[in-house]
Amino acid sequence: MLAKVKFHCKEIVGSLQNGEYDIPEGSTVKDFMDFLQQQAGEIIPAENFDSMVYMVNGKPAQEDTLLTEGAFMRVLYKILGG
Amino acid sequence: MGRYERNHPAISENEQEKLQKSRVFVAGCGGLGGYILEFLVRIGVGHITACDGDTFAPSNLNRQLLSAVPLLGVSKAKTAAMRAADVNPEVEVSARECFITEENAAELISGHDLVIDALDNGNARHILAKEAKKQGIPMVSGGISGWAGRVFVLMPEDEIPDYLWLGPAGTMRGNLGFTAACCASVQAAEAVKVLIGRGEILHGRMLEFDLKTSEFEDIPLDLTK
Repeated sequence: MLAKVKFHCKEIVGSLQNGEYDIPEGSTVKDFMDFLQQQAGEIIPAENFDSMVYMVNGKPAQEDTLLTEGAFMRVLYKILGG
Repeated sequence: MGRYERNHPAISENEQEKLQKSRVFVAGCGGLGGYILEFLVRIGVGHITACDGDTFAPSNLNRQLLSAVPLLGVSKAKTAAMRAADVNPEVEVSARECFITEENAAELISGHDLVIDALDNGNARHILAKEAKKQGIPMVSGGISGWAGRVFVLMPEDEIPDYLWLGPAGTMRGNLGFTAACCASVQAAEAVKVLIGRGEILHGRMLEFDLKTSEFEDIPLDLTK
C-alpha cells in the first residue's frame, strides 16, 4: 500500500527522505520508520526517537498506530525551549 | 495619539482601546517572553502579568532580550516590569517571581483575558494549558529548538495536545536569538489578533518554521476529542 511521509525534524532523521513509499499492508508507524531506515541504509540513534512526535492523517499517532492505504505521516519533534 | 500613532491604521482606535483594557498573562520572561513582553508593552496592551521564577544567568545572554551583564543574578520578572516602565509607563506590568506549578497556576492566571506560553518545558506547558482551559482563557503557545519554532492557539474548548509537550525531550539543540525573536513575533501577533477579535488565528493549525532552511509551514492541528 502507498503511504506518504514528511519529516519536520530533518536534523534527527539523518538521510531519511520525504516521499511516497510502497509499504506492506498492515504496517504500523514503527514498521514504516523501520522501512525508511532500511531504504536509506541508516539506523537512527535510539535517543533521537525520544523527541519524535508522529501525526497520521492529521491526528496524533503512536509507534503502534496502524497505517492504511494513502496514509500521510508527519514526523515532528518536541519543540520545548523558551 | 502620540506613542501609538504608528499602530494605526493597522490597528483601529477601537482596537487600540480593546488592547488598553486587556489583561494578559505571560508565562516566562526568558528567550520568548522577553520579546513578547517588549511587543505587547509597545503596542499598548494595558495590563500584563510577567511571570518567571528565574534570575538571569550567563547562558541567557545569547538570546534573552531582557538580559544584560549588569543584570546577571537579577529576577527576570522584576526586570520585565522595570523595562516596561521605561518603555511605556501607560502599561501596567506586574511581576510574579515564581514558576508555574499545579498549586499556583489557578491563582496566577485568574482574571486574565489571555495566557501566553513562553515557557521552557513541557510539564509547565501542560499545567498552564490545563488551567487556562479550566478558566475559559485562550492560550497562545510557542516553543523553540535550535533554528526551529512552533506556534499555535488553544481555545478553551480544545483538547490539549500534550503529545507535543510531554515525555522525554530528547537532545538539546540550543536556542538561538533570532529563533526566539521570530517565534515571539508570531506569538505577539496571535495574541493581538485574539484580543482584538480580528485576523485569522493559528487555531486548528500550527505554524512551524525552520530558519536554517527558511521554511515556514502551516500544519493542520486536530484539537478535537
